[in-house]
Amino acid sequence: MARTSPSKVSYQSLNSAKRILIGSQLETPSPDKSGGEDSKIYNFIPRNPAFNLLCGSFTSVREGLTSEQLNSLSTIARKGIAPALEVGAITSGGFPFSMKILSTLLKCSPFSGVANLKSRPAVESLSLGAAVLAVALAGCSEKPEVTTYVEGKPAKAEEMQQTSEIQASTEVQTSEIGFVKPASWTDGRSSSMRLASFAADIDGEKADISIIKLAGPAGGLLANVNRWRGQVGLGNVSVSELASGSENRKTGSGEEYIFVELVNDAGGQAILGGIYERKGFMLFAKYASSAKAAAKGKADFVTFCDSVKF
Amino acid sequence: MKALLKFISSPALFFYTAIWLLVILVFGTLAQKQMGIYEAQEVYFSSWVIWASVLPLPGGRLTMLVIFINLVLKLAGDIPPKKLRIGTFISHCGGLLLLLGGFITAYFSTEGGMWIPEGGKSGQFTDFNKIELAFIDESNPEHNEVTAFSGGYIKKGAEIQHDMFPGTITVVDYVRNGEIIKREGAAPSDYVGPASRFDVKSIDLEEHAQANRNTMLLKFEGFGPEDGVYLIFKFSSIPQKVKIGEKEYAVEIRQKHYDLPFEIELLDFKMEEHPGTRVARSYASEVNVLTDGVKRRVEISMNEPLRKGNYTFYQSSFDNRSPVEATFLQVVENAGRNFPYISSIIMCFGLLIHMVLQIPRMINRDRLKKLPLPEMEERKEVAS
Repeated sequence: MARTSPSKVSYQSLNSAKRILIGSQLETPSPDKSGGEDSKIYNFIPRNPAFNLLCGSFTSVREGLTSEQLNSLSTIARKGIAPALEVGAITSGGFPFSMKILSTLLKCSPFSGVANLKSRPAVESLSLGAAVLAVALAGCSEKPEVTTYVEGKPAKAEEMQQTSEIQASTEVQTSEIGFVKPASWTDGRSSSMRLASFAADIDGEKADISIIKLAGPAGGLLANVNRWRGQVGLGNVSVSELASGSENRKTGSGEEYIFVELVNDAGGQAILGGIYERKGFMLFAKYASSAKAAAKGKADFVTFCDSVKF
Repeated sequence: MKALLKFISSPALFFYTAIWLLVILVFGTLAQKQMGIYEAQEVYFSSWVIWASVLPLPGGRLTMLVIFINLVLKLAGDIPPKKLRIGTFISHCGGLLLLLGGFITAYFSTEGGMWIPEGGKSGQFTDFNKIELAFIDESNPEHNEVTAFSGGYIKKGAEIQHDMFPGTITVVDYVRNGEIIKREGAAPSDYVGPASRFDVKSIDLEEHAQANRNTMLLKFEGFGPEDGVYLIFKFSSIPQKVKIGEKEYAVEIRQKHYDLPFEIELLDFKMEEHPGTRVARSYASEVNVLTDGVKRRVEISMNEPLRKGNYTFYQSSFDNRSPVEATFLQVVENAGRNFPYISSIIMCFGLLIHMVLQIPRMINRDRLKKLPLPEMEERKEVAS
């Protein structure tokens, strides 16, 4: 294949790229057009070896592509993503135009069709002002800044505040764990599974509190939380949702546990849970009641969970 | 210098930059589908440089700045304007004012929203796009005191220092949209709280920036027993708590909050439905605007926003399923909101003058056409 002149190469690249962008079939550009308007516009190209090299590379790339590949590029271009902009800009004139600006700026050579501008101090001052404006604006990205303000408390926090008065409680020590039992709790129904069991009466509504210890991972945290969710009529959650809906708390002795609050407003049921993952076993503290009773009894249950000692 | 000024003020430069602006506009608009509206705006329109892989291309902001400078210098060169060019001169001034308004809007406007329950009031709104890292002191029973660190701090490697901190917080990692996954294997010994059990995986950005789950790993050093690496992520219903000094702070990553210089109280939310359906036909919020204790009763409806100072409040959404109805107002703070109106009037005025000034020439041209050819050439010569 005969080597084309640089200006012709740029013309071919330009036109093939236009076809890529509009998705039409690849055609060989007619040679008689190479000396037309386009080559006139890019007549600075032969003076720029770096640009020659780039244009040659683009043409080689284009010639190495099949029609299917070109069509794929066309599809990318229509999707409007960055690669398309790259293809469009490089090949449809954006890049040559940038080079032209650069070339003109560096050489300060006259540009065809320029305004009839007279050099005067006011214009120079304005250009200086514009440059200062450009620099100032360029530095206007989001800066690190610190603000302080006050905001109203969310309604839920206010409700919790009202019920957070802790009544006189008693310390309990079983063979396995120790904890503080809130005064309002009474002994609950016993079971071979439960380490301890309590009941609470919240405005006539009953709450069942149980503490269960299971060996090993006991099915895992997520499976157990989803089991509880099923008991109150809620659907399963993913690990992400569990992470965002659970609170990582520390007991008074500094041991970590996970607190979950599962409330089904529609069904009116709720479970509050404290889950203690320890080496070789898991401990589950569960508060099952109506949603209304759970909201009022939450403060006591959190106090209880925070008091657990191993 | 003269040559450079000639080039910068040339109509050719304006012509090419305007075409380039159109190219950006097309690609930026198309990209909104894949990148999301905010992201596409940031990449194509609000950027100085568009990086097409390794190739830097002029971004929308740079292109408009070039057009602005081009117009300024062109106008400066045209002072004093010729009598017949006064109309175009005025129109160009209008165009310049429009661009200036665009810059003011780009740098000094904020867009967000606020929920107000019926009977409640609010003096704050949250940004749709920008986020903040908030340390919330909940110890005051009346209100929360917030110290917020802007988006400039929310990047990998950033160090956060403040008078309230005994040590330094380092952003170990930052993910713009993350999925929380269960951690495989044991976490490093200094990872505490959810960070010890959960990890974060970067996923594609959402169409709307506020739907992204921004996630950070923050390393606290010099905080005594609270030292460690914490996982902080948006939409966490139970925020991470950290004790700093004597106070306990909830640490949240959330949409940036702004204070309004007044409060809005929702008196009543009204909705009309299409007959026989649950589809809203119109909805409106009856509100009180509270400024320094003075109440002003206003109705904000779908096509009638409330304008106060640089703020405009649009009726955007509502919640009528909860026990208490609530309204959602879109808030736009824009110091340059009057520029498009003023500049359009100026441009129309300029074009009108230009048209009027051209009328005698048009009449003369018609007369010339009717004259015999030699006489017409003669008159043309005289006119020129």
